[in-house]
Amino acid sequence: MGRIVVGIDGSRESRAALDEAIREAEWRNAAVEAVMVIIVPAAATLDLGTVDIERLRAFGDEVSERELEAARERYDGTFPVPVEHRARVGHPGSELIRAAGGDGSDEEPAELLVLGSRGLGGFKGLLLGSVTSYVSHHPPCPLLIVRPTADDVYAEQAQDEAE
Amino acid sequence: MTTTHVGSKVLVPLDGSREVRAALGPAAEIAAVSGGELVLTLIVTSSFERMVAEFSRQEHSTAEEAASSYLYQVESGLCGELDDVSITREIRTGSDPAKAILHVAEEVDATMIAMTSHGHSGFKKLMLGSVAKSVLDHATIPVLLVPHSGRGTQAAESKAEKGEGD
Repeated sequence: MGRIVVGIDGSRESRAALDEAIREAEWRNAAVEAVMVIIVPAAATLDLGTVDIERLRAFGDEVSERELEAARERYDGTFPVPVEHRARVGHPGSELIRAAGGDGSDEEPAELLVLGSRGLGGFKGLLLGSVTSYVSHHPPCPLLIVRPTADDVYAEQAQDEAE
Repeated sequence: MTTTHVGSKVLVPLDGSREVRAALGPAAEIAAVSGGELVLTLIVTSSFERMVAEFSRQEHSTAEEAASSYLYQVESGLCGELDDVSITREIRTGSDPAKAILHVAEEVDATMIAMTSHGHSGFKKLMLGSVAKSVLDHATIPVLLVPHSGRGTQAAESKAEKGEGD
């Protein structure tokens, strides 16, 4: 079964990206692999003794599981295709490229890598986020860049109000 | 949220160059698996007109005719693989091709725009031409970027251009 990799980070852009990835997977009869990358500050990587990679990865797994739970609600409890989640630790651009089978990976290239046009970071008015921009310069496979639709915005507003 | 079963309407901007055609394969695949459509789009700009004047072997009375003939040729090239996919051609004239492409996308209710990128390898140092970059920046629908070199050949390409730098 082919796989479609989608980057998630809790933003509404990545929510839209996940929905698009699921749509694409349905059409191709593929599985979706949702990847969340936990960023490790550069200073920490210089002294790996103080950074517990496994702990960060476990944290990432927890957060991405929660993201998928929330997403599952939008599909009445069941995704129409197999959706797995996987957390990685490191530089988000490189890790996403690796997850999709790019340089430094042992895996087969994904059929498609889906990313939001931007994520949680950056500044207002930024058209293309730095991670998406980075990945688009080293594409491991075709890259689908997704912006949230008006529906996504309303859904998020409703969620914010409910909380 | 219920999943929609309406197929994907993929718009592929073409400009007469061979490079941008790399997006056609993946775009056609997406249109085919989703039972959707492909919209081949060409914006006639002054550089297209110049290209026609210099390179066209046939006599065309207008650039629009050349555009039409070109898109027809591209469509025929695809038809073998795509039995169920409806293919339409859209030709516009304009000095701002990115804007025109986005207009067409809106007019035809495209659900995706597919373009070619150079990735970081390839002959150009820029990842995207200025038109593609502008379309990517301003599109409200998903944009598919297809690496020009094709996936999996990145390692071979970077070795080949080791002297070029980034």
